[in-house]
Amino acid sequence: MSKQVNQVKLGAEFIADTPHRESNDRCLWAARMRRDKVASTLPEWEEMRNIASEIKEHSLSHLDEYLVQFEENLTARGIKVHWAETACDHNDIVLDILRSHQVASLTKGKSMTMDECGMREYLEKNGIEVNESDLGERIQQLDNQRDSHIVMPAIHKLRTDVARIFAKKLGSDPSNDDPTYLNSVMRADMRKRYIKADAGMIGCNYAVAETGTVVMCSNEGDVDICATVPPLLIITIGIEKVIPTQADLPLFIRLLSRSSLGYDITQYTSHISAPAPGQEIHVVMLDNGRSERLGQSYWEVLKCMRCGTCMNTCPVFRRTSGISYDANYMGPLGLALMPSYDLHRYARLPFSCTHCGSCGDVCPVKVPLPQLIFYWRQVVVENRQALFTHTLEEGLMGEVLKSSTNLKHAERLGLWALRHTPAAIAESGINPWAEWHSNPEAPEQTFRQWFKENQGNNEDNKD
Amino acid sequence: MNTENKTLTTRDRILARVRANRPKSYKHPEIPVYPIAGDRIENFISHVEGFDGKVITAGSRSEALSWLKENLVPSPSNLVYSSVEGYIGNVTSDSIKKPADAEQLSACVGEGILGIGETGSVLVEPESFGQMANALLTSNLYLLLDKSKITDGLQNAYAQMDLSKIQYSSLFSGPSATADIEAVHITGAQGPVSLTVLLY
Repeated sequence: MSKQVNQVKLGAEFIADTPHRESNDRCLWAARMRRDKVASTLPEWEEMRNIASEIKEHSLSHLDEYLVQFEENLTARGIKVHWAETACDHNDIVLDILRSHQVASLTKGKSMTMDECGMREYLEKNGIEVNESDLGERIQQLDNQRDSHIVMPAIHKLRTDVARIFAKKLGSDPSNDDPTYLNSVMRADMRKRYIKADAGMIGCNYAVAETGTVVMCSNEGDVDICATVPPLLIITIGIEKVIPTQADLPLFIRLLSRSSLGYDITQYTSHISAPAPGQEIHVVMLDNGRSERLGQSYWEVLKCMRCGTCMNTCPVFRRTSGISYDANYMGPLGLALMPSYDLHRYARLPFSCTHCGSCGDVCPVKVPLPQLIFYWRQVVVENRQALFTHTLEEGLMGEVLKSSTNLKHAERLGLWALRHTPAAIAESGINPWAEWHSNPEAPEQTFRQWFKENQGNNEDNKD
Repeated sequence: MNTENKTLTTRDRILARVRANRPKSYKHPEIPVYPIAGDRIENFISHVEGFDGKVITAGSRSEALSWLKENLVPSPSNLVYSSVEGYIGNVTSDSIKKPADAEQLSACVGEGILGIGETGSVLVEPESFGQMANALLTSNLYLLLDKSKITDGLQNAYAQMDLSKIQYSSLFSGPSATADIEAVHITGAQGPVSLTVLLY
């Protein structure tokens, strides 16, 4: 059985590192603030969120039809479509294609879907040189570390970290940590790799069924280079990425970058509908549990379009970094999604949430993240995967909230315990709250008692 | 796995599961076309500049071409590819046998198909540059654009496209950029380091 991810412990390590914590928080909160500013310029913003959610609900409730339409359109234009049931199937399909073309090296744009399959590691193990082309992703590859954010993979790092990694792996000046210099090192190094690459690999933001078009949104230009320079292109698409029509697309484009980074659009919004002369394109449609998730009560998580805004706004994520989730999808999205991949391994994630609800408020497609996080807490406890304290908490609260009488007694008991439990016990390890906070001063009476005394004469308020 | 499943392809199994697990049917919503505030050309210019691009406003196409001839002079150390009628570079399609050969380019000049006021984007297709790689591997990119082809917003622009008919197309919004190191914005990531739109 896999080891459970202890986000609290990993997060505490990051919190203790003040320079990294402060930088991570500052960068992500700045993105959130830009998002608010740019969204406030569009009076239709909230209406667009509703419509985008409705389009996704429609697409997912007709997904089989749109998948077939998408496939037919691609096939008619000479793009070869493959279907992968699992991550292993996906990796085998990709490796077969690469081997049949004698591919020695490839350049790869950022794709959470490929990362979900552990594809890079698999290909490298099989002798293929994989060069991540997104700057943040490349930093993480060279540092042999997971992404910490789905849009900004190395945002938890400081420039000094990048200077050290590039000096070690790319031979740059270790004393120069200027981001402009570090970017130029990346650019020069990647140019050599693009030219010799036998294949390019990319992910997909939207797959338009009506026109058979793969849409990619990116900033660095690397995705388009991967897609157009090598003679062989492989595109991995999660089956939930399909949207019905071309007319739906601009609505999503209007929401995506504004939500993600607070800019009106990404530098490159590109569409592929057919191979270029002399080019061969393969598309791998990945299931990996998506078709099962569709039939579950948490199916709305499939509406997610991977903008990362739920991460930028999350107070836990901003302070603990995406690294602490030790998962392919992190932050609020990770809490709502990862337990469906491995309930035991990710059982503790749904508890890394303050219930502030901000993720649900900013999600451009209205994935009900707070509700899904609650849902997974329940599943984790029911399946006996939770920590003892969480199980105890859930069990006790179940009894307490069963009736108003139980709640009334519990309030009194709680107040009594707060007054009379010796600090040595109340603030010991059995109370996780007390690890970082002091217990509050005990009030003179419970809220119910106070309310009765002060408002009791009002007939409307009598219980 | 039952016998029936053994005879099904992976594709069929996935589609069957999707079909079996479909949530209740949701209707496709009506999508209004939202108006964009402000003048489309002024919006376009301010957005291109906001993305660190440059806009040269010319009175006519011939003025735009004159600006190019004056300011972009091909030389052995300044290799220029142009697919634009009226401006000749010193690199032709003959010397670019494969896409990767475009790495040698200092500059690439092409035609923009349409512009978008809302975002400062210019729509391009491979035909705009001979091949897409020329516009992506060049250091500096120059796009000519007829200002009458600027739309108010993204929705208006997409209404003019037919993605089923293209091989490839892209909305270029400024030169390439990154903010992956401490969110410091850097212009000139892996694609062009500069983008100049010649508006006529």
